Amino acid sequence: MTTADLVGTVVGVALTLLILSYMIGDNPLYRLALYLLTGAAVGYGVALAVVALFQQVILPLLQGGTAERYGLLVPIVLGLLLLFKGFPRWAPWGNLSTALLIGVGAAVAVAGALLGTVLPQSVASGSLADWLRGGAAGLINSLLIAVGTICALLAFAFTVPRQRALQRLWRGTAGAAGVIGRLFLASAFGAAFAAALTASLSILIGRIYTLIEGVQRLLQMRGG
Amino acid sequence: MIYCPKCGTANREGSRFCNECGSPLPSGTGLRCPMCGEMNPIGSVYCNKCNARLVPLTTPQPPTPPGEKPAGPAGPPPVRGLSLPTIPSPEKKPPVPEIPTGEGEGEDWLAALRATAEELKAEGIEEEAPPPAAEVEPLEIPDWLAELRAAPPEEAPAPPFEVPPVEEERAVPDWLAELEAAPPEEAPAPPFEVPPAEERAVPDWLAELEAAPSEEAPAPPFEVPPVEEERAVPEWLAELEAAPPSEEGGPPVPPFAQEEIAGETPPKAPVFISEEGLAVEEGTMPEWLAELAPGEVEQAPAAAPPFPLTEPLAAPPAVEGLVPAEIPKWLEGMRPSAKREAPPEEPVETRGVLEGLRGTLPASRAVEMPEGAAPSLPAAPSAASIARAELLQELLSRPPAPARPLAKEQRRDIGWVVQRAVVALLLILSIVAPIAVPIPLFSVPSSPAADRFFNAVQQNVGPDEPVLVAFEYSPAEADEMERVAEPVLRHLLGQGARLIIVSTRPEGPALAERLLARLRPEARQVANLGYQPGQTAGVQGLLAGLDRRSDLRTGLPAAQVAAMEGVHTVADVAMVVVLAAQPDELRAWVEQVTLAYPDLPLVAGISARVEPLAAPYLDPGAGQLRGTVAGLAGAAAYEAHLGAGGRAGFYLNSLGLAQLTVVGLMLVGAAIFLVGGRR
Repeated sequence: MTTADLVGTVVGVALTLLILSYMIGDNPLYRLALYLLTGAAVGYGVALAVVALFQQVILPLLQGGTAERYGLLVPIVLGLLLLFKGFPRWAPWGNLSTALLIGVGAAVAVAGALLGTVLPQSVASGSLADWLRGGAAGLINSLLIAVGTICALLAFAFTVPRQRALQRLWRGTAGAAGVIGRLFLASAFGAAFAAALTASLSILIGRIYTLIEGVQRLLQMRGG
Repeated sequence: MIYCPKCGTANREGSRFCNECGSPLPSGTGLRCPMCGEMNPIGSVYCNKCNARLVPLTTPQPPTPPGEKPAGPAGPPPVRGLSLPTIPSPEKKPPVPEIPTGEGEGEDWLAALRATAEELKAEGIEEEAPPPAAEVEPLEIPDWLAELRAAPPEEAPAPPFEVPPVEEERAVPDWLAELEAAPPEEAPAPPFEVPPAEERAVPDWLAELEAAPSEEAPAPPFEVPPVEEERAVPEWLAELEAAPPSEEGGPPVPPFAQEEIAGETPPKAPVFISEEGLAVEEGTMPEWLAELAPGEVEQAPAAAPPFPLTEPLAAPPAVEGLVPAEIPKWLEGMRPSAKREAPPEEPVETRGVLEGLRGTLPASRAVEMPEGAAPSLPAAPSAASIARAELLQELLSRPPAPARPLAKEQRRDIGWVVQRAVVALLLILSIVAPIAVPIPLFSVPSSPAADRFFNAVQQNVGPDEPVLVAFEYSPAEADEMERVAEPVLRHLLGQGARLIIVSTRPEGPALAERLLARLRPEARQVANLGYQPGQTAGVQGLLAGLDRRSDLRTGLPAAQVAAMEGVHTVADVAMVVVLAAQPDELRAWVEQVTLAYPDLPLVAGISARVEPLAAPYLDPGAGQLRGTVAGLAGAAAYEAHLGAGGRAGFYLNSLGLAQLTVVGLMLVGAAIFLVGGRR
């Protein structure tokens, strides 16, 4: 084991114990580890951004061709304008860059959500061929999806028609469907909670085994 | 607009501080114009509506001679009152002395009093504008005035009235100049005509005044304004001298004066001064004025002078033939007293509706009521309002509640800590137990999604095939995600694939290197293209230009790295593997890849928390994901496909025990909740 491995093991074990001290509540040791994690993450991010800037902007600007330099002019200007956001007096100068970032990001996200999730999932759920493809189990699965979706939507219907005759009908149908929809929602939330709990336990298991392995390494070094 | 009282800058309505100097601006208050009632901003000089002056003019103070005690603070408080207005005139006139009065306003009597003041001033009792004595020649004054002047005042009060010096050309007032220019027949005769000096007949009462001891008649302290040598006699006096004598041949004395001198009975209808100022009329007058006999007229100026006298007048001596007038009480109160001091002269307003007036009422501060404000509160408060008010009063009067016992709080905190510690201890024991008892309690579960993932790799990834691997997790999620990623990458490397590593997280490339250090791939098999900012947009940027990036391992451009040979865009890779720990990152990759390259095989190694979201993409109808490896269970299933045991299978026992422990704790908690009465 090298010195770097030894230092890394000791620091890892110590920080793990500090983090696990949160089991007995918030305390200064946990806060210390939390602040170290936050500071290290920020420092690493800044260093990475500087490296990326140097590799993707500075070097091409110094060593690239004329076309490449002119191509970098627009992002450089927009990036410099974005720096004005740090000064309230000159912040409006960065609005153009901010608008470009938000606009492009929103356009990409919305287009991806519509064409990459909503449309394919709707087509897949409404395809009779897909319903029949899986046999009886597939048909039941597809029916559950359709019924669960409709009932979950009706669970959020909080209004009733004005007409008294329609009110009773509405409560008899939409009201009952809403109750079923709430069952689907509860099941979905339960599944999400179970998944999150499983992920958290997996992480805890990994931390504890890392701690045990670290202690074993230190004991091995001391013994031999 | 709100005008700054300090710098005068116009500020927007509602401003609290001046935009120019930062001074606080008045809000809700203002100066109410005494003329029209308009609210004006604090600091306004003239009214916005009627142009009346809101700030009183100040009297210029002449320089005090050395050694002379300045008047004012040491003297008695000045008598202040409502100054009477003067006749507005386009020409600039000398300031008219103030006439103290009691009450009432009106144009007629004000004009009459003003005319009286002018007439009296025409008699030579000009107390204004005394030029410096050293610059002008002494006035050739009548004897009686000279004696009065020569008599030393017994009391030497501070000069009650200092008249600012007047220029030479202002020695004669304008209105006097007008009189001079007017034809004699049109010029109204003054009520008191001063006889020519050479034939002046001193009235008896004046003669007695001259003979009276100075103690009884203190010398007037006011100084007769010296006149220039060439102006020794005013022109109007000269004209009077040059004018033909009256029909009676006597001096132009008023009728009542003549009668007074002759000791005759005064006429029933007294002389009255018309509005025009100098025209003499006989006829209607108020009763209180009618009571004043003509013989009392000469006392009237002393009793109620139309302008403030600088010297307190003594009571007129008893003169034979003169009977003291019965003056109304209100008029008696206006008699100048010896103890009184003439109020300071105030300048004349030169603009606005108050032009020609002086000493007007100053503007006063007032609170501006908002428009539409209710004039008053409802007459009777409701019972609910009274109850709330009483409750508020009770709360306010209640003494502060004593602090909770500290011991009880500490017991609760200790119990809370013990409870958390017990739960933590149980979880740790359930996790560590498989180490002490290496018995496989839980078999590797079947995972169709992991099977599809394995088959997809087997079918699409061959030797030297490029595979794009996205590391989209953070160090906090590495303990789970590394268990997922390790068998997948081992499989890919075993297939002989080239790994092209990208990430939209800053920590992603470093975590990839950490994992690859454990797998020990060949150098030509891996190209780490680093971090791409922009999240969803960054994913699209990565897909479009892989060859425009640089390799973090070698620092070379991507096009010069062996692992990137023949790869320019995502379309050139055999498969895309996404290792995501959060739903948003998986969704972004699935949407962008399937939208741009629908036929490109896409698989995902995901955290257990992302598994519910990834299920729809695994639907065969959608076909967006060819397979997933979700959590430790999926990783254990994948390891089983590889035929070699790994950490995921070992951790699976700990995960099963921990899950059972959590379920047991939840059941125990629910039971305690039910038994404990749902508290």
